[in-house]
Amino acid sequence: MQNINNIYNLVGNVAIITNGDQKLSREIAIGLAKNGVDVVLVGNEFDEMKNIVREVKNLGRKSQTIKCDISRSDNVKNMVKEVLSEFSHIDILINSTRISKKTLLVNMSDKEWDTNISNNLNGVFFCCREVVKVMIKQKRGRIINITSVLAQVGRSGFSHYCVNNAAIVNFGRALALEVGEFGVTVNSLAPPIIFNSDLEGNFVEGGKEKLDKILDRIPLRKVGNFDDVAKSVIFLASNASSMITGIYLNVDGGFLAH
Amino acid sequence: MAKNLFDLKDNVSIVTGGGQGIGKTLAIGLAMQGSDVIIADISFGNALATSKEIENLGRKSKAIKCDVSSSKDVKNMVKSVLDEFNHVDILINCAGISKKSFVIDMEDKDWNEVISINLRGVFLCCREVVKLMIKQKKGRIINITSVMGKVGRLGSAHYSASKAGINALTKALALEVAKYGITVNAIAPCSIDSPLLKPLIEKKLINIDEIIQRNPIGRLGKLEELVGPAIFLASEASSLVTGHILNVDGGFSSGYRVSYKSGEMRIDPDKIKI
Repeated sequence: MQNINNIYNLVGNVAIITNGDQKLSREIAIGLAKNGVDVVLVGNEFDEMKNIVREVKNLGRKSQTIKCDISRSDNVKNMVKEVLSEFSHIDILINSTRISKKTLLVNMSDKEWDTNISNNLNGVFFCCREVVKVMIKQKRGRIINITSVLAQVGRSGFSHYCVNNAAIVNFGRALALEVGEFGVTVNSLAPPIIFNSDLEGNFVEGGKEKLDKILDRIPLRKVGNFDDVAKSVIFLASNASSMITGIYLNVDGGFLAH
Repeated sequence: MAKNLFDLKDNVSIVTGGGQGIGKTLAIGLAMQGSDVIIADISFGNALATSKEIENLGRKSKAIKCDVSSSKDVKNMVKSVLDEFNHVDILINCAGISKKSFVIDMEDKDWNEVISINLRGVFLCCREVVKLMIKQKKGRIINITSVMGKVGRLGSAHYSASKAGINALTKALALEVAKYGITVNAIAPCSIDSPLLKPLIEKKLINIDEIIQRNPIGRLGKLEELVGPAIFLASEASSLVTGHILNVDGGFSSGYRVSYKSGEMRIDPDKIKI
């Protein structure tokens, strides 16, 4: 057996991260950059993404941000063209979802439903379709969907979010079947249900008791760090995961093991 | 960052079934990442051979003859490890056998043997090693299961039952020991070119073309492609992953696939325009 050290090597890879302004997207961008990956952040929140670009560049990698409404097919097509003209290859696509506002179904308007599906599920479809064409030609690629435990279980007030995440996971499985023979893997990941950053601000109201109730549902009794997700992304993006496709990896402290 | 993330320096690992096939490959992989590795195997000769390869990589190693289905053997094995290494960080339960028989033809002894080695063996090793890990407030357990733990296959009722049992044991144990910072996960391989597969192919009990066609990646995996996932689960990179059955199967269990011969749609890369 060859020395396996190189299986984690990502140097020279190019990654696109959608909804690139989010805190989790930032941590993933930094984690990838520390491993030698150039990062393109994509989404609507241009100013926030520019800050992250600066951080990635400080780590010595190339980075840029592209303003792109991923719910629009033409926007996504142009975005991919722009990435290719700058980088000539795309190795990793990270589809980040956005959390939905809590709304009971009986109160949900057509517009709220349509917008949620459009921004999340449709966005994943458009990005995957355009990027996977590039990856098939390259005969290599990694698509990683950052979804939620709510892809597998329900939650009151989040029917729109549950649908998005469940759909993205199974969409990923179907796509995995289509593109596997070209060296392209498609996987989804469920992050922790609570992060350290969630503990700031008005969470403090209700305080320790509220936190304990949440920790009771997490076997490892740990609040998540964004870094915990970034580590799994690095694994899935690398050659170490060459026989892994169509999975839904639980990075949730054991929440779904119940 | 990547090297530190997956680094296993100062770790001590036990690999059951480390004398051949998947177990041997994983043991050597762990050693390459810096872990000292103890090889427990039914064949002392095989265990010793793997052990010597690990020492050649500059790691400490020990070969122990162990029948994982024997409570006494397992207890002695763990005691022997502790005498020399004083801690155990990683346990990979790989010892297992595969047999083929329809249920109506299955002898009692065939059922007993498969359940005993594959399932009871995992229970016994987990129980003895987890006692240590609880005291250490640290540990990683990785059970080698199979896609056959979730789906059936003709002639594999005992094998499937044993692997499904391993999956359930993995999750239950994960819940019990999570509070001590110990994670318990399983790797479910399929379509890996392993020694267990060869005799089944030779006896024409498995059709190799069918395996490749049903596997989205379109090829058999190499044994070493199990190393990356095992190291992921053994390392700091997976600190929030527990009770998880990680499929390393080329996409086999991700869905329903029909062979191209039967008319399945297929992408023609030459027709893709960018």
